Amino acid sequence: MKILVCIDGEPHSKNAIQRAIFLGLSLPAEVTALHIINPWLKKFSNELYAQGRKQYLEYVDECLQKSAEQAHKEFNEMCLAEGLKAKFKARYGEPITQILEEVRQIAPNLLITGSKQLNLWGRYRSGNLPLRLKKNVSRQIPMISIK
Amino acid sequence: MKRFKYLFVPDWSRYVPGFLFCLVFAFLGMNLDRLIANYHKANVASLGIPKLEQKLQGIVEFGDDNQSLAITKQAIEKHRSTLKKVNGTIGQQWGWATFLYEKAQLKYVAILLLGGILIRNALPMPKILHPGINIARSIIKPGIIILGVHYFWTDVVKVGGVGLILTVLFIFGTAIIVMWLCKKWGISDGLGGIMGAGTGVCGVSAIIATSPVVRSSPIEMAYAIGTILFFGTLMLFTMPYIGKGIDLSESQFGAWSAVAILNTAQLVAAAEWYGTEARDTAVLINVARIMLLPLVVLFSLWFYILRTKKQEPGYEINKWQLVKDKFPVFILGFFLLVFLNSLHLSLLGGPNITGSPFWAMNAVYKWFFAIGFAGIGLSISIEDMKKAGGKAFTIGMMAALIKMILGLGAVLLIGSQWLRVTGN
Repeated sequence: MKILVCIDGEPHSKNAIQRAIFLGLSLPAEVTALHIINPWLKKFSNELYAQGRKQYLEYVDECLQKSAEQAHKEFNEMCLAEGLKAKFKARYGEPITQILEEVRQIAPNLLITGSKQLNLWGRYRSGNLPLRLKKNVSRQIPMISIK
Repeated sequence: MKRFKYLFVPDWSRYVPGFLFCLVFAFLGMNLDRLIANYHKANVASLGIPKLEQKLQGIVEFGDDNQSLAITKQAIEKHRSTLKKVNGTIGQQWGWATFLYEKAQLKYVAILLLGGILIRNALPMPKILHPGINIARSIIKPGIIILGVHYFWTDVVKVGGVGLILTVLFIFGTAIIVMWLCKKWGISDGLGGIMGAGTGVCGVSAIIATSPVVRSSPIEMAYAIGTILFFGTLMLFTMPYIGKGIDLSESQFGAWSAVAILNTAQLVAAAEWYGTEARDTAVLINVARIMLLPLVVLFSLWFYILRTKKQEPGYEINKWQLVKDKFPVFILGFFLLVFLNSLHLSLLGGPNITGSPFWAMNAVYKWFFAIGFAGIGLSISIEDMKKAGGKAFTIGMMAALIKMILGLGAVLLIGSQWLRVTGN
């Protein structure tokens, strides 16, 4: 059995990792963590009077790299503490597209994501990724969204 | 062939579809603008001809002077040719065109911006178009350089001087107050630095220049960019109507938009939308505004890093290199054209001398602006603006409101005379 857990380094994704580890150990199942490096900020480098574009792009890359490394480190530490051997993968691009691509490639039996407690406005603002993901993958595989 | 290779950016072909899309969209927008303007003028002519004919009859009956007779006949002839353009007849009405042109102010800028926003957010936009649309915005820059032919040094000294004082007050005033308040409220240096520069100087462009210096985190950058885009767009669509509502002169509106609107792309669009005088004033003051960008970045560096000795180990800061990197080189082109125009060289002519090189340049500037505005409209994504939030939203809202009110007070106090670009 395969479990894919989506992580973004934020506190709510720790709960998702914990659930994935618990299921990975009890079922047992092969757990893969997926971190998406979202280059959204880079598109603003073409702003009308943007100066120091190269420095900005390098800085954004550095930040995204750091956050991916941090997510990897946190995930490894949590798995190590529970004694689970798991894989970590990072993908580059728009989150929904990349998660769906990964689902298509590794064909997991379960997808786990973290999700913030949001009000109506917050759900609208954030684009509600877990819900959009659910709409796209629920026909193929079961999905759990941990709050 | 190898030599030519360096003339192109790597992967240039991926920009072609989006850029062509902007070009076609700009073409349609400009033609729609012309169509509405033609029908509006025909509507005015259709209503005006009977009145002028009555006046003409009066002149003939009372035997008034020949000059009045000639002027009235000429006006009737002009109106008839306007009507002919739309194959219209006297008495026919096109009230919708007058409403769209005069009341709704549906000029090419509004068509491209509103149409662009609608296309971007309501239709599924193919990803293949995104890179080209993103770079189309930069096409406004050659347009701004060309606008240099509209000014003489007298304008630069008069309007630019007043504008520079306004800009210094508003830029440094906003940047210093925002950064100080952020410190006082315990907001992180990363967010305070980019919000101070972003609300003070030129919006997202300033965030791009400042974020690597004050080491903002991606989430802080996302909040700040979303906030600036949201309030910049809000100001773009509200300020021209407020200006018309309170009968603000074009030059006053140009100065108001140049000091108040948070993002520069939206600023140029709002001023061009309001009128040519507004655009001339706004562009000149905006040039002064963006010239100060390196200084604001230096100030942020001092305020957050050097003053507090928070320099990360291994993070070298070369201040001269920083100023060089952040200086907007393209404005040198603008000043070169102002200089050449001020020399009154017959070889170059002027924007009003038909057939001269400067006239030709002036004739194409609108196309650069149109392609740029198409790019701006098509890049305004509600998804991006939804990233606005957190403390950045509160800071952005306060800065936008205060700049709007104080900016309006300042231009009303200064008056039109000191802000008008006369071009002579």
